[in-house]
Amino acid sequence: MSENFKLKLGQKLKLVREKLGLTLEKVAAKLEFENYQTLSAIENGLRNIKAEELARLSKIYFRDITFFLNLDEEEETNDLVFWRECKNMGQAKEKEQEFRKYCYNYYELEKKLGLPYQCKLNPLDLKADDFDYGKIEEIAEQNLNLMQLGSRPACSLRKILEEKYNLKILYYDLGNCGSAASSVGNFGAAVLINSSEPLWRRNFDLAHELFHILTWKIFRHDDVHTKDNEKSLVEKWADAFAASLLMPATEIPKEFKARLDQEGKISLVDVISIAKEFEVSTVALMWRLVTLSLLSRNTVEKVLALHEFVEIDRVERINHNKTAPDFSEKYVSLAFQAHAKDLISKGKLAEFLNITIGDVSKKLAGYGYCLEEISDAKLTPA
Amino acid sequence: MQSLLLPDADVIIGLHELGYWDQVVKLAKIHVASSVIGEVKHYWKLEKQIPIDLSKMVADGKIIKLEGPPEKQSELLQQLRKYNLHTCLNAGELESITIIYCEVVPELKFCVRERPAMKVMACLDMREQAVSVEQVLRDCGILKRKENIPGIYSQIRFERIFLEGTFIQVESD
Repeated sequence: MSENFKLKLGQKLKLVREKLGLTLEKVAAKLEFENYQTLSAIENGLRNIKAEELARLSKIYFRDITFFLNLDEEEETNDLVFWRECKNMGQAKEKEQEFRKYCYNYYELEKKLGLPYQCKLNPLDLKADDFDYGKIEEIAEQNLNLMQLGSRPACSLRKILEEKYNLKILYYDLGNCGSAASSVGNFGAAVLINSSEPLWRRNFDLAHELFHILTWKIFRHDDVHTKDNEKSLVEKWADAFAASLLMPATEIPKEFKARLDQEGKISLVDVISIAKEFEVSTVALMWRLVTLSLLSRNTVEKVLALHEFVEIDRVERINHNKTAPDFSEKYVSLAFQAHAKDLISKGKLAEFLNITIGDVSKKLAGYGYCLEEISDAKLTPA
Repeated sequence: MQSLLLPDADVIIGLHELGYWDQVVKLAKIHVASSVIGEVKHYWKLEKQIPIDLSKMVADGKIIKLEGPPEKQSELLQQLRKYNLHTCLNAGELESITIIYCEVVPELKFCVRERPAMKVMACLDMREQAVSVEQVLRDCGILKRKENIPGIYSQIRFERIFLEGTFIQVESD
């Protein structure tokens, strides 16, 4: 290996590691090196890196191996990521890079297949001073109609955002890092949802992140993330937007009134059933009912404190907690198409799906794709 | 004389699924790219996951581990840019083709069934250093004259894809 290659590759590896906030010791342990000095020697151009070590480092650093092998390729611009309820920004750096990796994978598949990759959502043409809760309600209603989300928006939101508006939606277990994140970059716009959250929470997170995408150029990073970890006003507006979008002011009162008994009261079970129907949390629905002047704040606070209510809600929803897919149907479809059209190998497809080569057929079968039968088939036009 | 083979990860898994792997290891001299060892973990048979431990086979001397130097991989990638094939392979495939390209072991042949990898080989004028699974099985005497294997491993498909790869090469040059 030439000295120049060794040195340049080492510098690149060091830069990426430091950017992820990883120590030499931590990475050396992941590589199963006996000590961190070996990795240090690689980074300083004093030791040749082996091919398998580079392949493993690429995975640890969430980069494609070609990024390291092409020494002239610059690190992608530092795409900003907005986190929701991030409890540990240190840990979040690795998750951020994993998020970026899949955003760029998505983008690469779209490019290879000649499909548009830019997000088709129109950014809001407003200034920060224009926002208040009334304005948020108005924006949510406009988007509800514009996107044709229907009377139960949560049921269609994900599919419409992904299929019609090219918003990249990714799911994976974020652990304690946060509930969700969003980013806009060269790849387009993307939202990351914590797959370990229940369905209604994921729906709310998606709608919340949609607000950030729509207002990406209006609010700065500091407006969203406060230094004292208190919920910022922008975050509260994003919550209000999500509530208004998923529980429309035109639909919720209808359902609420239809369930009132002869005395003009509604049972807790009925409230829970409305929440299930709209695929939102019962707590979010309760507060929405306050906003819509259908319940008093005092009543809601009392109900939410009831152990009995929490238990009914939990039991009622136990079978309603569908787990999130690892990848969206669109992402898997793009990856499958790219492979079927010879644009990526099966090994690369496995990388895109974050599985081993031996699991590709089984994984695709789970999404309704048959690898072997379609790959060779070609049709002759009439 | 034993054939010198460098099977791709997907071929190793395929040979396990077909039940020919152990015979091929006995009858040919098998080499594997170092990155491929980490890529091949298991295969599935009748809904059962069966592990594959290539590291142990290397340690037992049954197969030979080879290294495709990263610098040479980098040079190869530069060449593939011309054909817009530089992002279609994973680490194991890129390393395997580098091993063949640099002639780390003379007479070594890349046993491959993946179309992008075959097209890369065609563009680099490396048709003679590649071999189909069917050809390997026939050369080893495992597959008899009238026996067939699934189409994805066949010699006919292999030749057809190489021809397609040659068209890419001609168009790009």
